[in-house]
Amino acid sequence: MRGEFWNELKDIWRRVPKIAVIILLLLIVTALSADFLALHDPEIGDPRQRLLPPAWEETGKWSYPLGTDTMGRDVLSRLIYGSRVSLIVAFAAVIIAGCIGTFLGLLAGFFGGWVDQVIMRFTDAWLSIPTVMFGVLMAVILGPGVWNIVIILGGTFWSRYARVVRGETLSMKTRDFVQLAKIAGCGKARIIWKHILPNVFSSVITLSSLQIGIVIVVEASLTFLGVGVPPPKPAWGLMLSEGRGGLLAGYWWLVIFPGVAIAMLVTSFNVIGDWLRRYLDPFYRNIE
Amino acid sequence: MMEKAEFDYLLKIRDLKMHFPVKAGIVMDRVIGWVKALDGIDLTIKPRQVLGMVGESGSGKTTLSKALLLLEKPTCGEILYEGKDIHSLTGPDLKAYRRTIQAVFQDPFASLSPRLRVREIISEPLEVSGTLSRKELETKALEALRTVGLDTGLIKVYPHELSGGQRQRVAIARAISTDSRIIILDEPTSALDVSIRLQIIHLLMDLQQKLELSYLLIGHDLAMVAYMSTDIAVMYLGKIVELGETKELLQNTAHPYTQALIAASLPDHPRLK
Repeated sequence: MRGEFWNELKDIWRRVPKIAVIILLLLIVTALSADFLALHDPEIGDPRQRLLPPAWEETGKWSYPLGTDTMGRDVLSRLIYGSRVSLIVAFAAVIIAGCIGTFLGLLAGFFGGWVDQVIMRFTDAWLSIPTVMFGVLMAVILGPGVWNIVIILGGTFWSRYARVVRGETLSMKTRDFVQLAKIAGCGKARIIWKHILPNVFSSVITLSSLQIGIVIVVEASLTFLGVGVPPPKPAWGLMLSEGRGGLLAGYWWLVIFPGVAIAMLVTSFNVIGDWLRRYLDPFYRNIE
Repeated sequence: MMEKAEFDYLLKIRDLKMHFPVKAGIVMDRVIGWVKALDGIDLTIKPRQVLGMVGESGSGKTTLSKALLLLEKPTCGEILYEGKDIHSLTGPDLKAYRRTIQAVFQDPFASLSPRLRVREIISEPLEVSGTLSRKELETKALEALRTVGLDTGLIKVYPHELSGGQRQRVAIARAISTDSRIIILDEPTSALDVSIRLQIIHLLMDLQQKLELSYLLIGHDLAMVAYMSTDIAVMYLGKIVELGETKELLQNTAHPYTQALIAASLPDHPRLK
């Protein structure tokens, strides 16, 4: 039994996009073990070590591998702790958005009629609100904080799920197997749960892979604008925002490292999401 | 054996009409006319009868099957099963009726739920209309698989791992799993490879004999329908224009539409015509 599970794991490993998975796993491990990995306190700096360049530069020190910022805080330690914020916010927001959007999309698509009209007009209205502006407004109302950001992003991004899921549901509803389920006497809940949801799920995953990238970027943007994760918490968007003044003055490490971190995380998610879509679709499973 | 003696029919359709409104208008929909998909159908389906139903696209064959399968509510008229109108059945009676009637559709690639395993697909009608345990459902599914001539090992695979012929056999297994008495076959072979069409036709005919089933066989292909059916009904513009035993109907056609239909079908042998 155990061997079987192990084989299956090995089988999956052979098919995944390895680089993206390794990057993501590394980031997750980093986020989990930040307390052991970080050399310095991410929030309290050493005033004597301000604006040190990365260690390989002439004036750099190996005790601060990626340099320090204007307050003498270690950039690497802040990056390590910042991965926590980015991952928690991204996963939690996408899960919340996905659940709300999928639920509403299934209802609208399956029941049609006025239910569809009400839900979709509401969704259209929601989609027309500019994300960042709405985020700023909500952040001002709710106040800064990691969980407030999660709620704001989750409450913003569901509308795309609703649209996609509604469309997929509409097309699934007319398929023969759904008709046959009705003939068999399946109730509406069972048809939605067993016949429609599993078939729209791969679209939800694909969308999530794209959304999670956008969510990370929007979180970083809100934080950059000063309404997201409050300082002095280490967040990648915050690091970008604090470092942007230094870019022209030659303190490039303040911006490049968090920028690269965000890019790597977003790219990994996109690559894995694309693979996951194909893996979750049984039709593709044997082709690869 | 479950049949109640007082009914010599399985289904009795009386003056069934199904009219769909045609709407037009930009702001307010107005009904500007009616499509009479079914316009007064009278038909009886008897036990062990294979009733072939032919007619061009749009003649109402599929609409009729939808009414029988409770997918569409007729405008007026009634369909009687054991003396009761099927569209007013509730509770246990409704479940019993759903077990009685099943359907097999044309395209076996569209008719099996892609995310369910064969076991779940076959046992679903029983699961939702009965009170069997998981174990009993599995036994039933295995039995149905064997009956349609498939390897029982296929019980845990997904539909995409099956060939077209195997899929259609799974669809048939699902239809017989509830000990159904009437199966609606909506062009059951027209989407299949020519080489396996005959296999499926013979499987259906064997099952009909062995399980004493009734079929309502809908088809475009007159030759196939004539080969399988005991009786044939010809539909045209929502009406049954001709109804009779297969042999008789093919020899003495009364309605010009039936004659045209026969003239259009291929002869048994290329040189015969």
